[in-house]
Amino acid sequence: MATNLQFIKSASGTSVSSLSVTDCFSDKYDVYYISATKIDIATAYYNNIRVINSSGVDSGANYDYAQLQMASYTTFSELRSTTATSWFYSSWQSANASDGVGLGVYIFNPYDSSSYTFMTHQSSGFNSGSGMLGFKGIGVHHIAEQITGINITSPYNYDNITVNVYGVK
Amino acid sequence: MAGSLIKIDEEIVTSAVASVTLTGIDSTYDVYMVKYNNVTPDTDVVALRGRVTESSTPNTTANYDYAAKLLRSTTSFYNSSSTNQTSYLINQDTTGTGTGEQTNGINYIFNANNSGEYTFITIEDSFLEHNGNLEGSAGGGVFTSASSVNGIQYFFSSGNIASGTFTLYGLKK
Repeated sequence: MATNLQFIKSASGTSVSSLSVTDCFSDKYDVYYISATKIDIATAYYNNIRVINSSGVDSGANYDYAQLQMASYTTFSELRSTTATSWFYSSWQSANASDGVGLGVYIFNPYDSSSYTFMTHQSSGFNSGSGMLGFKGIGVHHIAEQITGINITSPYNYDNITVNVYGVK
Repeated sequence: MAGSLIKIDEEIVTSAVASVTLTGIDSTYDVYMVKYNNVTPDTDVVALRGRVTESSTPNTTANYDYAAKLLRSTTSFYNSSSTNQTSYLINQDTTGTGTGEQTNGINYIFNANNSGEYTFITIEDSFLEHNGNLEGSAGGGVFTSASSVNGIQYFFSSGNIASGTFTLYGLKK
């Protein structure tokens, strides 16, 4: 029986400041699922997400987000912006290579040039010395344009990073 | 995971309809998923809602409870909850007809066709509310009647669904 969660592509990087997954969105799907399970970073920080348009990675102030930060060791926090340069705080990345991360993102309507691109995400990471640190959030890239890929970024180098993209048919 | 999502029903709205009903839930699967995207109303200041269907007829009794966190990009988050309603509240705030305003989301449905258990739903969406601000819901609901559910109906609190795609999947056991 045909399946309707279809693997599109995987991208990996070593010693990179960001990872782009190019040409993963098309008119074949309108909803996508993106997963990351293994990211190693030089200095602990948040993983952030940007979209790729016809000019490349969009680092303009075109992103809105709202995130609930949930920690096992302290009070929850609300994070929000309407003028961000990425979807900040998609997940927390420990600098300890054995800590890993679990990040799942749904992307809606990226390839539709008449629609904004929306996202929802949930993540679970580990803040070394403290405990679990997770996020539940939403975002919109508020420009109606064709988006062809995504970019995972942080101020610090990724030692290793792999991201998988699936289409929900 | 990649081989376990099976499409069952899909409705693509290109002209206004009062509601969309997805059917085909049966005992084949225990868990179903609905994705909806690019969903817009033809009326301003309305919220997307949902009901289960039994024998393809929407159940309109006051047997729906829900609780969710409303995530908001411009102000504090909000706890949205209610019991004994006549439908699930899918959007925890109202959307509308302004530029870019639409709803996108994922619902998982549990134990729907099991006549011995309540039907549970998770709610995860991202939308522009009726002033154009980004908001989203993270929560769930329950239909508090142990019955054999065979589908789910979506509708706006007032007016029609102007556009959108709704797709029902089964998660293979």
